[in-house]
Amino acid sequence: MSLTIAEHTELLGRIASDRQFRSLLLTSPRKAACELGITLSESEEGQILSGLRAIHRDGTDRLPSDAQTAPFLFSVLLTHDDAGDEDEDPPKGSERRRPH
Amino acid sequence: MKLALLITAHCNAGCTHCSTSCGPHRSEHLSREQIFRLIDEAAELNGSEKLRVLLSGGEPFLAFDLLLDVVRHARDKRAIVTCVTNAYWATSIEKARDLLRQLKAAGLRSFAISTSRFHQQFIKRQRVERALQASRDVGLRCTLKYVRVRDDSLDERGVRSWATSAGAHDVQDFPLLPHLRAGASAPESSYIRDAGVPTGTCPGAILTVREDGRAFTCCTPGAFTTLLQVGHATRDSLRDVNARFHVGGVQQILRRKGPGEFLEAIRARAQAHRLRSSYASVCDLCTHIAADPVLGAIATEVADAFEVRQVSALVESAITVTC
Repeated sequence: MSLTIAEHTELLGRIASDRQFRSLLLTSPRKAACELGITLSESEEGQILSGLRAIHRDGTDRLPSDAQTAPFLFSVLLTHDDAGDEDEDPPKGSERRRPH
Repeated sequence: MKLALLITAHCNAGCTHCSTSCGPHRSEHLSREQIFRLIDEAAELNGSEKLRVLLSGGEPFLAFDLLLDVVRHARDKRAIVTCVTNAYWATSIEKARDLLRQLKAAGLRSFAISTSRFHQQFIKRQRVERALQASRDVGLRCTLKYVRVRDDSLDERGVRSWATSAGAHDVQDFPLLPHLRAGASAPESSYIRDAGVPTGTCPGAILTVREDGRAFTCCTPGAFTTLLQVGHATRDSLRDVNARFHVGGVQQILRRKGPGEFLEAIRARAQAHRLRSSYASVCDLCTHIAADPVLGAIATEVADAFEVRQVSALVESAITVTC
């Protein structure tokens, strides 16, 4: 459905001023819009969710896969990702100091 | 998904550098039900991707039966599961082998031993060496994590040589960060830093749930601040927490641009004097900003503005407005 100018203004105003509302919008757009008495169509919600998925993917892609640059606990997960060969030598350069 | 669960704040040590002030006096912990639910939700969210679960604390071996159950449960959910310990339990080589064999049989893929000058005031080096030897004996990979101060008795090469000869598969060396136990302090000369403000993006966010359920974007010492909190994993669904972990404004800025993105606003508000002249790493800069209430508030403003622009654009692209 289309929004009136007043609804549109209210929606953008709420996005700008209310962090919790933004969070809700990021997870359940239809539920968030419903709080303002706005009903999003399936395609509108689908489009927002699709944009969110792209951001989500981008965030995931930016997570490191290199134990050498990973911080404190995370590096353990990465180092041990492919653990299995007990006699495998330590990764080269694993003595290098890395960020916490 | 990579999920770190700090399952307990209880610890038999009270290390000066422990940013979460864990110790014998602490008893807060995630319940068995909460831990299982988080692993179940994570497995469901993860779909066909590999779920990686890291168990830490506090000292997770102090509740060994629970640790075994959690490892089994995570394995049953096809997760790769690892844990971090201080190795206090290696009172004899036989006992160390026995505990590690039980964990390996339960599905533990590997583990890490955390040690340092601070740990060694409570846990003798000999126990760490026994645990490393036992890990070789039972065929369970072990990483030694070492927190370094500037005047450490062992240099990096020395630590590596000691740890690998004792049985470590890998050695990871971390500079001390200035987020110490409540009330503790360390001389400025303890910190290993380079002059200037580091550049670079967040090198490794991991969804971290603390013993009280609060969830954060990172598990580095100093990261448990409002700026880096992404929700409450025992009150909210992990789905919502995970969504903020990925699409939150702070999180996106840290991954896309790094904490340096906040500097312009910090300078514009004449707060640059709150920054230090040297840092150990980009994580040191990030946690410094996050821990300072004024700098943290400025970073929040910048991130909020980013989030508002992004969410508004998303909504604008999806809806039609009629006059």
